[in-house]
Amino acid sequence: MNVLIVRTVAKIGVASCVDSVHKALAEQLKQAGHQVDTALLPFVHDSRNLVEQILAFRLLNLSDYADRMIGLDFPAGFVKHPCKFLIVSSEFEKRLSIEIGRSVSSLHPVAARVRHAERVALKECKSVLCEQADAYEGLAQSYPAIQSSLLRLDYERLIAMLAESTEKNVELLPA
Amino acid sequence: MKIFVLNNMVPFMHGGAENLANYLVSHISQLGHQVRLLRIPFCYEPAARISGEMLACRMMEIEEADLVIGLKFPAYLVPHPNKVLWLVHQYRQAYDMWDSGHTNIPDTLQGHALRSSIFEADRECFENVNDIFAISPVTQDRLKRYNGVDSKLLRTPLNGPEDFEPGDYGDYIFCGGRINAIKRQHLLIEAMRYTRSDTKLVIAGPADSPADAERLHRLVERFNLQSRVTLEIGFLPRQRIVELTTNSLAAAYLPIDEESLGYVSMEANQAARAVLTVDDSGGILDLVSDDHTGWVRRPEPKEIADAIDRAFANKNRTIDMGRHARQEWIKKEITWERTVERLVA
Repeated sequence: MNVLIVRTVAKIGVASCVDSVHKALAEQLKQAGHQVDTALLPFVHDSRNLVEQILAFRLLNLSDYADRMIGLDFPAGFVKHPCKFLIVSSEFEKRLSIEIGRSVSSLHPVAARVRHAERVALKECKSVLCEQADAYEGLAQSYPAIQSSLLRLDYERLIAMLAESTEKNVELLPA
Repeated sequence: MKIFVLNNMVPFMHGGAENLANYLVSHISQLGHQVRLLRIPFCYEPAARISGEMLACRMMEIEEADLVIGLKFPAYLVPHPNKVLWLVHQYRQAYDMWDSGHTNIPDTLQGHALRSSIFEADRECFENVNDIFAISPVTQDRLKRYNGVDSKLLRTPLNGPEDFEPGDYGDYIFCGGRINAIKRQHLLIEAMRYTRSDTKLVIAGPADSPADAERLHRLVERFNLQSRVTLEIGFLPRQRIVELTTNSLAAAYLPIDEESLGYVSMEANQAARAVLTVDDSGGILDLVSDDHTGWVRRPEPKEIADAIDRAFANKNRTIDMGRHARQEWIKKEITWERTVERLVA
């Protein structure tokens, strides 16, 4: 099947954990006989323009162009696809507050919008997989209604899930 | 410098523009810059999606880059204060292909509004970039005609030219590249039914759709050309393309008004192969001089058949033309080193 990996690229010359996940996942998908392609999107960790950037990602609808989509963490997970899988390495909103160097309380208007967008995007996913226990626990606390599981680099399991997931979600939620 | 290269991607479609972006990134890196490629999805069917994708690009942001190089619409709309364009092409279906009727934009109020928004987004982008380079005179002319914008010519270099050293001349005409209606491989098959019996044609490359592949297979069967036309349809390893090019008698490439010289024709010239093309194929006409480095005919099967017959009737002449083609190509000095120097200057 055609599997599209969607990820972001922020700073040049700064390696991220997404790089290694991306490489390993793409290799295993190819070894399993799947066609793999990758969308690489720009992203700036800046709360001032965050909502606009999330909206930009929501405007990308890849429904007819891949059998499955794997989002590598947020904000890639905001991109729409009716058969979307999401790998989460940390909670986007909490990570953002650390990265921009100041506290973004959950009552902050930006944080509230991000949280809403995250909830919408998470609901769209066929599966949400967390790389580490802290991300898994954080996600369960923030979004108790969202079911997720621990992945721990077990991409064979993810690939099996892609193959088993034959039914697409009927309708994508609005931007 | 820290440099981002902005390109589109239609998922699972891989052609010359993708190779161009990859080689550009590789050569920028070789000159000591830090560089990353961005691949922004562009799913233009149905056309109603395009407005949202344009808006998405305009709302995206790029972090800590000294320079951004934009290649294609709508990826080049992503804003940055220090951006240059190396224009592969605009959304041609809003411009020349609208005029020629080859467009997916409907001739409705909504379609006209979409065209206007594409014009406006392009205008704003072109006004705010530091420089605009175009990959061919065809692209330059189009930009000038439709947008009133001047640009500098910066042709696409050949990727890995050392692979295409001339080999022994074979007994077939080779037509490589993506297979679809715009590339018009079907015209070559239609021409083959009018050619003499010792002519052979090899068409090889990935089909854009199963229907594109099926169309060629049906034509071969319909004209009973199985013994003289070989179809190798699919994504071929580079080494196979090299073999097919460097062992051919000559090459053929007949796209509809393509901007660039075309990798197929550049590779053929590097390999000292004459190229058959037609007079509405666009950029390639800057490379093929009729009866000197190849053949230029009208896009009519019988006229193309005449050129194929000539290629086989006098093989020594065909080989001489191929050698001329290589000399002319090398004289142009279109190299990656010079290209990157101009883009990052």
